[in-house]
Amino acid sequence: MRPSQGTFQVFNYLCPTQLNQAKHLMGGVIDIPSFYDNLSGRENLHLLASLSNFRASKSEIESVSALVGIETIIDKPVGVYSNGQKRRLSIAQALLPRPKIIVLDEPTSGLDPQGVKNIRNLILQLNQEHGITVFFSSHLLSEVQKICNRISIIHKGKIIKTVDVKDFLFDSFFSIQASPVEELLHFLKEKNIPYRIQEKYILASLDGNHIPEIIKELTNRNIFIYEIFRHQLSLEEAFLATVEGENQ
Amino acid sequence: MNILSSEIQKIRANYRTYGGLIVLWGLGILIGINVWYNPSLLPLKHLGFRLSGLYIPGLTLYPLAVVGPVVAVLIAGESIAGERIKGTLRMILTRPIPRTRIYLGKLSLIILYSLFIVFSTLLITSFLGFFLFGGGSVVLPVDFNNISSGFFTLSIQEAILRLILAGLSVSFYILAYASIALCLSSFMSHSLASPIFTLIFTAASTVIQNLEVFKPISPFLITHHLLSWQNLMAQSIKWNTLFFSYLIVGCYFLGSFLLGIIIFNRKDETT
Repeated sequence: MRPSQGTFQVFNYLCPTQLNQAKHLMGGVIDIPSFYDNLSGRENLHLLASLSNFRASKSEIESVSALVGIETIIDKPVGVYSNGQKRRLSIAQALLPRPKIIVLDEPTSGLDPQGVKNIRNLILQLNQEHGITVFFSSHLLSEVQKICNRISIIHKGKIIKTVDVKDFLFDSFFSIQASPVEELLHFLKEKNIPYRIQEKYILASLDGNHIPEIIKELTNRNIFIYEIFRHQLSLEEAFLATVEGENQ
Repeated sequence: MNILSSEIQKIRANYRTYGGLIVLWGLGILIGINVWYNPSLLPLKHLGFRLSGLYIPGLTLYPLAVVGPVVAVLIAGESIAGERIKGTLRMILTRPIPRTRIYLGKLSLIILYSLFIVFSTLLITSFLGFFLFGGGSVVLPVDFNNISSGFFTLSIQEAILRLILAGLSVSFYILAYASIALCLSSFMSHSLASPIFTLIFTAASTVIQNLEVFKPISPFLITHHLLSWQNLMAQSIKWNTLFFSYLIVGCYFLGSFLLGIIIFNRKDETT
């Protein structure tokens, strides 16, 4: 897509001006992997690698296809591949020009549970054993939670939060029971603190280091705190709390 | 070069490529066999002239000029729109390659394809012609529309040279159509839409060309130059007329090429 405005940087390349130079360091997997069905997996890999000015040797193709687990079908026409096999082939094509970063768009959509698990393990293996940074976009937040170290939440086309998953899930959310509730909500709105109401608690995204100050300020405003504790959320709960906080 | 070789790899795996070739080669072979069985089809035989094998590729230029654009348009029209539908275009766009180069790669393939369909057919029909009738100089009427206007003789070398030039002219004519189809393909999202629109454009151009009221613009219509290569078979070639034809066909080629590149560079490719 043509960018409407703004820039971003990939290593030393300022994009979109130097996007093609930046793409030499990146591999991409689109949401619906598409290949030339009449060509074999090997021919597809050769063809796509050549478009990155990368001459893939036989051994490189064999090692990358073994890495993603399609070595036994690499010489068959892609037309006979299953969805999961096409996903693996699409990851193989992204890896072949030896990128430093790969961008995966919805890599597990449309796969059965076993396929999802295999792709997840593959992504973790690429990161942990091969040192490749993976940008991973997904609506399946349980998958994101299992795979990612760091996340950005995009809401209405804008990044509203970028944070380490560990911090986001374990450090940021506190359940508060206080009275009067309206005053507490007013305070949170005033301080632009994202929150959501969860049964008798207010779930608020707070910086753990500021808790004593917040308690003090609430007390000064005659808001009585009955309970405040760190809340361990799933990524989905944390995401919803953040997004709903943005909407308020 | 990488793009061109990848385009060649793709077209080799496309069955439609061979379908078009078989049709053109088949037509050429049919013409050769037909003339062999019924040499009276050529009035020259009646007049006592020996038939040269080169008549067969010469006659094949007619179906090439008519069917060749259809074959090339089917390939060019699918070139971008087909990849858009299959999703492979988005895959290609993840690669570090500017869109202009992708378009140029596809155009280069179409140039090669246009030359290949014409010259492979001419080569096959030349072999067939030499096999059936042998070589020798070529006798041609001074006026193709009036056989009693007299005859002139071309040496075999000159006949071959003129045949090659005529082949290049037909290739250029086919290429202009293919370029129009590629241009349409750059924004259409159905692999057959672009060929269909190109053929509708051809039909419309043919109708307009034959209407009296449009006579003044007729020379600027691409279909007007369908048989411009025939000029190369005249006793004295009217180079000015021929170059005017090349200029008009070249304008169609260049115009559609530039428009196609602009559209292709601006179009968002989304799911």
